[in-house]
Amino acid sequence: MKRVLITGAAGFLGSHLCDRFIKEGCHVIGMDNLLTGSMNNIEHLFPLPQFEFYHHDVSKFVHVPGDLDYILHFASPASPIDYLKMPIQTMKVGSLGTHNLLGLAKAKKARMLIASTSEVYGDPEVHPQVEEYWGNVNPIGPRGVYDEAKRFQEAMTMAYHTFHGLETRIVRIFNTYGPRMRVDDGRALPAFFSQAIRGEGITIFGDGSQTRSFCYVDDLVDGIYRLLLSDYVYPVNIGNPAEITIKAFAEEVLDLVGNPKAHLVYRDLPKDDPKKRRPNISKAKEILGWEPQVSRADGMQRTLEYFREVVQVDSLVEE
Amino acid sequence: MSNIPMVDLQSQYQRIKSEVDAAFAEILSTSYFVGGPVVKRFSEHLAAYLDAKHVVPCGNGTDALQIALMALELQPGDEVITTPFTFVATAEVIALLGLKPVFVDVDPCTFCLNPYQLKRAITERSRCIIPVHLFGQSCNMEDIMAIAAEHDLYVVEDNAQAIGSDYLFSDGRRQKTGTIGHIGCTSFFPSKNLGCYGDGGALFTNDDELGAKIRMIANHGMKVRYYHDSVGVNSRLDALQAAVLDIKLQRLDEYGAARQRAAAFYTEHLKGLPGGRPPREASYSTHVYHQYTLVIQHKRDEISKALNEGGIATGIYYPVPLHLQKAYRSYGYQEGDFPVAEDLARKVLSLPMHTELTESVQSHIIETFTKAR
Repeated sequence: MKRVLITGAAGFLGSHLCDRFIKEGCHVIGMDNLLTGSMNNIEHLFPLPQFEFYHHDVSKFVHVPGDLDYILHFASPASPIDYLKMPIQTMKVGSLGTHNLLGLAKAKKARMLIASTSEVYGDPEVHPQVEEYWGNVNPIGPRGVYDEAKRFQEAMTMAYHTFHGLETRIVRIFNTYGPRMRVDDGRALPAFFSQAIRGEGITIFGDGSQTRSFCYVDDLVDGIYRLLLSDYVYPVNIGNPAEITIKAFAEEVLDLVGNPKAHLVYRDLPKDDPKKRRPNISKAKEILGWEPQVSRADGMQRTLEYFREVVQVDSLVEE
Repeated sequence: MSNIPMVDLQSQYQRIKSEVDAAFAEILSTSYFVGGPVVKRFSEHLAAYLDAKHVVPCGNGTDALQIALMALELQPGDEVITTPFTFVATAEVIALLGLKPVFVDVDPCTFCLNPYQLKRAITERSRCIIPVHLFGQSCNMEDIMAIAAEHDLYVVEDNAQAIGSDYLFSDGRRQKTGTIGHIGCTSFFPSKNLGCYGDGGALFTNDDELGAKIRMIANHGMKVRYYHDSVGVNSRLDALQAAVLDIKLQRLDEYGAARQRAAAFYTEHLKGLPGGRPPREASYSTHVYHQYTLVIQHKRDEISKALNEGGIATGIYYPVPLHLQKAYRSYGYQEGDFPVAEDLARKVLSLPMHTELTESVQSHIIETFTKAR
């Protein structure tokens, strides 16, 4: 039985990865300091003997007894409101945390996969982004703590690969959505869903002409799984290239939720809001034979079911 | 079906009535009410059962903890590490003695002190760890003892909920919980696995010096009558309680087995249900099920209410972790400090658990629970 360590196990992506590796017959050790992760995301795994939970901060020395075959480093605050609130923890988990885990991977002769991000491209001048693009990041800008931690993480991981011959994989993750997203993580998609369910105004920043591309979480997890099992050591973009304007997306949410009280409201565009972001996924297609399978309509439906469960509907209280 | 209580002491009494009544009559005729031969006999029997060198009975479980910390001669400001997910007594005695409670988060599966978190809480002022063997199974004592040894800390086991359970060492050895650390403490509150018909408690140790000190502190700090060597307390077990305990001690393993059977029946029927998690038994401990505690993902309070309305008692142990209790605010903890304990406080629900449960009663509880979900 393969033994897998997944950091950030109680987070959105980490918990789905735990599910996938359990389904693949692995023994999963989930690690999380629960700073932004939620116990709700892994509650269903606690009864399973093939799942162990380590409540631990990977920025500190990491000890795991027994063998490890794979390490997947998914611990980090990942939404702007979180990493602006916790800039130092964000830098530490990307840098010190990665270093600790690379050391552990070396000691255990495990293969290490790190969660990098489309943020390494910063405010991109190339569109859509290919893996060879080096990015356009302001190291001391508001997003610098996350972007630079992830860039350092990639560099460190590559150094362990070239210098120590460690088996490493790097996935650059683009916008992903699905069940277990935090309602209050400040990103557009959970905000739209919760506002629509509550029958409030759906907040659009600017005129809504900026575009996004959203990948359903099951697709993303499948891409990561394939990358881990491949022999490709350079970064690979995983995301959904289907682009949609924020306004069109908000309208889709409105239609889907069907709450007559919900409507669109417009606010000023914040300074650091990227205009466009879309992955070029040729590498993933070619090397991993991967491309998104879940349509937006399907993914949105499944996500809505989750949000309906977790969003507190205030109108129920009024009655 | 009539009301189903959390514990059924009456039915248990009926099964030992003749013995208890006879023992009480005997004590009433001798008028030896506090201390005396019955208390001594029970202490010896308990020491033999636990395989502990010294058993010192006292007034209640909270006193036992206080006496333990007094015997270790901790100084005001010294830090005592314990869990925020337990009954208040553990933290209370720390605060009362002017020591500083330092909380450490718990494991989501066993609800007990998490050794991983424990290491992070150790400072220059740390002197003692109080692991609480919650709901009937042991904390991970092998890891806790190793950490304690590394940092030269005392370990006082709060065994109030786990008397009779065995710690299973990785080398195959077994040892009774409460006898692994420097001192073990227990409560004989009526609802406990080994409970009397009033208040009672005891301390255990294998250390002769500590044993003598504990005995002295529990009795006004005196070894020789009216000569007080240290500031002590008045905390003694009375003969009536010792008589009941002696009778129940002979059946403690039988009682434990009845609880295990009841727990297995619950788990067998509840394990498949989504959103509710039956307790998980640690690999390093037997479980004597002082409580049978589920973790309910959603609508815990509604489910609890539905069970209560159906005449079934439920317990929430514990609704507010200690670090968020009003009385302990001054130690500077805040919401988010112990996410696992806080999460469990929102989700745990204990079902009726005692030695007299029948399958038909349990089936009724399970059915009501399933409908309420």
